Amino acid sequence: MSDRDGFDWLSDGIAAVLRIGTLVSVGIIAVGYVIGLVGGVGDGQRPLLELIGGGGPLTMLGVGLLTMTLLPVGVLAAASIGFARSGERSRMLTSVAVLGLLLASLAAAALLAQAG
Amino acid sequence: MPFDLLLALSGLLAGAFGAMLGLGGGILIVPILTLGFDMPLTAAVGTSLICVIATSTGGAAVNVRAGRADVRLGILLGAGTVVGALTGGVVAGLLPERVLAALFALLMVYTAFTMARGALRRPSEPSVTDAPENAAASDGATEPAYRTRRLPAAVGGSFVAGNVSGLLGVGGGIVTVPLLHLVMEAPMRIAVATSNFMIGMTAAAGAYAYLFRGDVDATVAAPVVLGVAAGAAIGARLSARLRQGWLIGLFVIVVLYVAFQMAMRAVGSA
Repeated sequence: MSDRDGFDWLSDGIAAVLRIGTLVSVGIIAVGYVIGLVGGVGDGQRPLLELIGGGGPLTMLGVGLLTMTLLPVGVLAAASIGFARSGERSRMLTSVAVLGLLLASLAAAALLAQAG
Repeated sequence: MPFDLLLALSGLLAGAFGAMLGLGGGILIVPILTLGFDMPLTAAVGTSLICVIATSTGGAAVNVRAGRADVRLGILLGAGTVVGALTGGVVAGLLPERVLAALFALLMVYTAFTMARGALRRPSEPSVTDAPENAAASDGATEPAYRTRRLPAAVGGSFVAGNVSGLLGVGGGIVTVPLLHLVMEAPMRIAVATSNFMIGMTAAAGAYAYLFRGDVDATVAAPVVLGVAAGAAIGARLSARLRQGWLIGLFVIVVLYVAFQMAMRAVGSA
């Protein structure tokens, strides 16, 4: 279902999230990777929060990988908006429920990593 | 050849292959990283899950815009695969791994046989159905209109797909593509593109734990992910040009390969 300006969240919106998100995350990973190749990089096998706090290329790699894994969350958010705008209530509830599951999985992983 | 370049090339091949067939490429990435690069299994699985997301996002960006991926169907079935993936770890503790592997191998052989037989009988026939709203993906210029069948069964099957994915460490696409094509009777091209769209959600559900726990080596994951992202974009475009019979043929070969690996695991040789 398209808006008046012709922008359809279920195709244009999701495609934009995927295209821009992939470009941003791959771009951050690529820059971090190249900086690491040139200037050297430390141990990359660390919990995500340590990786992001590690500074330099490790921070970029951590942020890039996290951004990549968050793209499905963005897709579901765009889909929820699309279903809401097109009045597809049951589909909107389904996509919000899946979005909630992914966010719960993310929160649980972060909390367990901090606790451990 | 430098280590990083080999990793990137492996990712490129896995990404292209995965996007062409609606898989995440995990069935290639995990063995490549463990057998070829001597990486621990947990690190390989964690890296593979991120690569599955990269395959999905890289391919789906092309497929959604082109109307090949059925977003409505993908999110509906994605609910089942995400719940299945999250509960997969629980179920894994209830059954011996060899039993699971044997069951999975049998399922794969049956799937390969059914898909091959179906392709020989009706090579490119679109189907009709009782859920007309799912015909949204027929907006694509080259794909005939279609309707899907047996939605309740497919939602249940998608839960099993997510569960099997979580249990056995393979991409959910190996189950969701046959589910969409054989059970729901979506055309193979739509099944591949919709599965490719779904697997990112399924993989994300499991990836966070590996990433936050530190099971992913970012310096190894980076070149693989970069290769996968490029390969997925190429594979999604190739998929649109390949004939449906070729897609099915390639898929059957991969399914039989996975069945063989699972059978070996069941008898204790892998």
